[in-house]
Amino acid sequence: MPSERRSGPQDDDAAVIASSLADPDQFAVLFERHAPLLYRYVARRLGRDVAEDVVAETFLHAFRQRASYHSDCPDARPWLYGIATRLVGRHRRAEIRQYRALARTGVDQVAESFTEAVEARVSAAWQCRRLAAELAALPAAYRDVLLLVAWAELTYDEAALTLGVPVGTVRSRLSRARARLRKQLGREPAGGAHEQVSGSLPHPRVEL
Amino acid sequence: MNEMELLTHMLNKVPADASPARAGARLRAEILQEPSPRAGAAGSSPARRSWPGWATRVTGAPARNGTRRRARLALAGGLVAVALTGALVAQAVERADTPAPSSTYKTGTGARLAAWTVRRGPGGVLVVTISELRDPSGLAALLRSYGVPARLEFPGYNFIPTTSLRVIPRSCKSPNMSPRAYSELQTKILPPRWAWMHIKRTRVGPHSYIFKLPPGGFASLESFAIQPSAIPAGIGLFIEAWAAQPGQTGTQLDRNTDLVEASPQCTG
Repeated sequence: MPSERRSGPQDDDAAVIASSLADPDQFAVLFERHAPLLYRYVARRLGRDVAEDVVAETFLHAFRQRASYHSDCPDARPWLYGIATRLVGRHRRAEIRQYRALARTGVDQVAESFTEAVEARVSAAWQCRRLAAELAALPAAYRDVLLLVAWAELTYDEAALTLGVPVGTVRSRLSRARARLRKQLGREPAGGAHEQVSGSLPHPRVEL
Repeated sequence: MNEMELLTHMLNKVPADASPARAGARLRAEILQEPSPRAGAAGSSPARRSWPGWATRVTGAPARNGTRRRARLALAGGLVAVALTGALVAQAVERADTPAPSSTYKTGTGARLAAWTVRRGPGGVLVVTISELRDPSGLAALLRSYGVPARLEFPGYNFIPTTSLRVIPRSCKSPNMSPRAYSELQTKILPPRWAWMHIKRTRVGPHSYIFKLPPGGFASLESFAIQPSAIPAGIGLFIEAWAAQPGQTGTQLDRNTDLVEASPQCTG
């Protein structure tokens, strides 16, 4: 009886994907390896429910296209996050809406959806609200780079591979995005945050 | 606390161990639809991988809302096995009394093969089978004649991993609706395979089923269905199919379908 080659934790992603061509079940290893953090990244951007669908679509696309995966890329994260980021782009309005809601009300609906608390707690710190307001105002290309580095914890090279842009572009977009955030966060409470979101903001609370 | 630390603080409000159970179930269902070489050789129910916690947790999770989601959980959440033996196959549903509209081409040996066919299936669905990436405009025109505003593209073999997910063409617009409404409408227009293909389901446990495919086995899986009556006015489909590697045909083809706003520029 011929011995079967099963993917294990020692195999890199490229090896797992290659083995899944002959044995589709092996693709589950890739899911187990990357789905939780990919889900966390997408859930932070879009909320819990939509994240489920986006992660599902990401892995379905990846599974159907696994034959085209470049075997010289041992880490599949840029590939997976690239697909996920494009899918997130389809929900751009929802993403901006939840940033604005956080900035306006102080209620982090994404975080709340993961807790058992029934009542909505105004727990977001003043700076987080300003940050959310600025995230909503950032150009999509800047936001993608910033969040791939900050939330998906990709390196500059991996983010470049993910988005299909040169590393220099990643650096410049990240630099501009961070400069805009710094500028916004450095303002006094009575300043620009009010201009970014509708509604009034309460007095800042020191939580961080 | 600088901006990057603040972003990390925001991220940390989302638990790192949250499990995308539904996503796992959908992937599992997709994998089970793909023929395994070992399964074909064995001629019996293949020894599938024992799926870990994220798959089995789905069976115990409460259904959130909607029959679609419940149906998905019922199908994919349990221990699913697909029996491939010819003796177990059930009846086919795609019975065409008349020859199906198709696009044919001549091979090097002179044989005429169908690049794609469109048949009427149960419940008024259109069963589309794409075997070869030829004549997309002909297929789009035929679908339009059935009341399906559609744009077809067969981009061919042009993928690298990071850019393999194409977006809709510039001349098309995504419909203005919530992600949930989009997803629900997409499921109505493109009913899942088990909703239109006669796949016999036998319950073998509380959440366990054996699914039996119609004659043709996995070869029948290159078909997909469109429900024309579910398409609201102003909505169309952008369908693209491609080969991930040169020479791939039939079930090896990849396919993606997006909802778009029907317009002369997009769907014709």
